[in-house]
Amino acid sequence: MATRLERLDDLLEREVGTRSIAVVRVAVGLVAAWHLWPIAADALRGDTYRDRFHEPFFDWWFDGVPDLPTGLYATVLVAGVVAAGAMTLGAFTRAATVTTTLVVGYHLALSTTHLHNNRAYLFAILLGLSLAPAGRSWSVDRWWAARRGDPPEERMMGWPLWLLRFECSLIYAASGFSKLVDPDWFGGTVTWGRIITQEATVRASVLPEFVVDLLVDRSFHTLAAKVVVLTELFIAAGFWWRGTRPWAVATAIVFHISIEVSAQVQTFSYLALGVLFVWADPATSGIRHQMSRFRRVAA
Amino acid sequence: MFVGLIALQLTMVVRAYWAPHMEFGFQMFPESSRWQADIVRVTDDGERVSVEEPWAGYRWNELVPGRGLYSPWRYHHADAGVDNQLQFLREALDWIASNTPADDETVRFEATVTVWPNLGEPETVVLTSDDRALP
Repeated sequence: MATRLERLDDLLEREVGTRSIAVVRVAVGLVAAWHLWPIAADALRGDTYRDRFHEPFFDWWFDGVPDLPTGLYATVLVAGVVAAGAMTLGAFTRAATVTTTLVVGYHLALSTTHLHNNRAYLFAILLGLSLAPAGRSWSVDRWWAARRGDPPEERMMGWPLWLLRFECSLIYAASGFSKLVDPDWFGGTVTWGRIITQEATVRASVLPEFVVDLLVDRSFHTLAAKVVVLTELFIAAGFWWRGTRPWAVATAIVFHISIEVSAQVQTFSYLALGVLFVWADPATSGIRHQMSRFRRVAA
Repeated sequence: MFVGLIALQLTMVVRAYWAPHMEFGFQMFPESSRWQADIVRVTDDGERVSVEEPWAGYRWNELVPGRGLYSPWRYHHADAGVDNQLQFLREALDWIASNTPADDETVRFEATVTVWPNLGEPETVVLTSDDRALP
């Protein structure tokens, strides 16, 4: 009888399709180009992080990260943008993805001031993609191979996809858990505090007055904060079961759209929505499973 | 590699509960805390001059435009938490002290920071840069 470890080994080595990871590659490539281009454009004008406050993570680490002359720094960033474009198209996919990962990682490693949650998530996902043959579907590489008459090879070992799924689930789990263990967050003080310190802005918005009155009501946040925390935890856990997966994906989509509408989170919403495609194959089968169950019940 | 990367990520998530900048900890919108700082230059003759005024060709907002530190004399939301914000401010004071060579009169920078942690009672923290060696 196979042990749990052996079953995990089997799962990680089982072949999976490459189409879902190809969609993630396209989305993440676009986000990486979007992230890098303004930084590259500034560097091309001679405007770099060195001109203003920056802080190395650790001195010993900073010494190990080359502090490039401005021209070379700009060239590296432009190379990152080009690589992100090639990654999106799936041209020389592995090399393009590794280059994009290195450039995004290099920029982050230069200073603590460069690090935001959305950039950390971008780097983590790029790292996962660079370990996968992400160019086997919907790519210039695939088209070129077909022209040469090579047989399609739209399969890969499952472990890079599981790594990306872990990371995708983890951000909701980490965020939700940190709020769950914080009495101020779970009790509603944090969300209420954000609203009442911006009450004038909220009242000047397009929201109807009764909605604004509800939003500035302290007791509303006692419940609303719990809904937010439990939503994040539901998304994190819901991905892992076939029956709940489609609902977790749908909840995550609504969650990110609402965040994008209500807050400025740079590229995070688009990145997070793109990465949800790591669940595409099972999510689709989950929906099929749900639909067939509904049909059986209806019959 | 699979297990190593997962272990590394989980370590970073746990580490974020102690690390002020919470790198790879993914603690989103952690606080509604607000803060405001009065920052002065202490000159070699003991005068305390607000950094709202330009000095020796430098402006605070040009030296420190990001990470919520723009115009620190105004009220700000500590969007990644008070600890993160205070750490950035402390580092910014040291960075300015070390990277303003045309300034030949400032001995150090001091920030008197008022923090309202999640709508709680205000707390005051004083941050001081490293002393500068004047010519």
